[in-house]
Amino acid sequence: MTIERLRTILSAYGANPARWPASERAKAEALIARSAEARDALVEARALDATLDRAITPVPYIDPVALAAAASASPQEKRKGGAARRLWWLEWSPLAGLVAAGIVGLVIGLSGLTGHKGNAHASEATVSLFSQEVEPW
Amino acid sequence: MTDRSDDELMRRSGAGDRGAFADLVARHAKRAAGLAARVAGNPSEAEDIVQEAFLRTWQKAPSWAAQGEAEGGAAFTTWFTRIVVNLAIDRARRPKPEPIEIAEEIADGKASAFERAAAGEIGARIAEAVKALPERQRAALALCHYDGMSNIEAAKALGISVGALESLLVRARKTLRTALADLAAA
Repeated sequence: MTIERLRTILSAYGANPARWPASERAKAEALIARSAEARDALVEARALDATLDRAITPVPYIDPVALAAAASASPQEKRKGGAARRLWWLEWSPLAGLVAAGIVGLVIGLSGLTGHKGNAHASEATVSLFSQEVEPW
Repeated sequence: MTDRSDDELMRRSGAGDRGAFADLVARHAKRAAGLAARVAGNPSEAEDIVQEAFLRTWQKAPSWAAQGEAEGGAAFTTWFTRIVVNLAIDRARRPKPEPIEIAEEIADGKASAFERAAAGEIGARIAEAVKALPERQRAALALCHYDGMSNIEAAKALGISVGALESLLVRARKTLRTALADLAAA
């Protein structure tokens, strides 16, 4: 703990060790015990604390019973996450099925156009289906 | 009052238990009012802020546990303090209606009579100096000096790092030391 760090702690948190960062409290107190300069800094911080403690902000009284009754009369938000989140895909499943069917159809159709000539009849029918031109078999 | 923990009361509130919620309100209303009054810089707004904070607490209680886990297991106090501080900062930033001459005199007269009678000239002057700080500096001071929160809790409640909190506090106290130098010397 350096004197500079102690000054920063006192400037931020004041002279009460209970308000200092817990991880630095023991080292800060040790420095104050062995350094007159540190003790002077502590006295300065203590003076400002005493001044701030004289501020009195009027605080309205709030009836907790009435407040709780009024607040809890309103509806609560539904729980987020959990089961609802895990089942999100179910909402999309009909659309996903439709898209998958379309892709399969497209693949079959394209393979018919570029591939087996022996199956031309079936290919024509598939392509026709996609182009919405219904031809007789 | 119950000896159940805040987190337990909050979980029960989330399940619709109004009795548990009433215990939670009874435990935190007074502290919340003090914090709201200091951060908003206007005691007359504290009541509205606390009401709004508890309304949100009740409404969000069902999803609080999941949200708390997502935020690294934030305790109820930290979570609730953040709501109060954010509401109070919003109020403090809200543009105030343009005062007309007569209204201003009445308002000033009321505040002055109430505050000065209750706290005295010096106390009122110090409160005014605190009120004149920028909102976030005022919130940091309210949490750490007046509310006794640890630096880690206060930083979480403000949604900033401990280093940033420390910087706000240093600037706040430096400003106040200068503004109130004559009082410290007296």
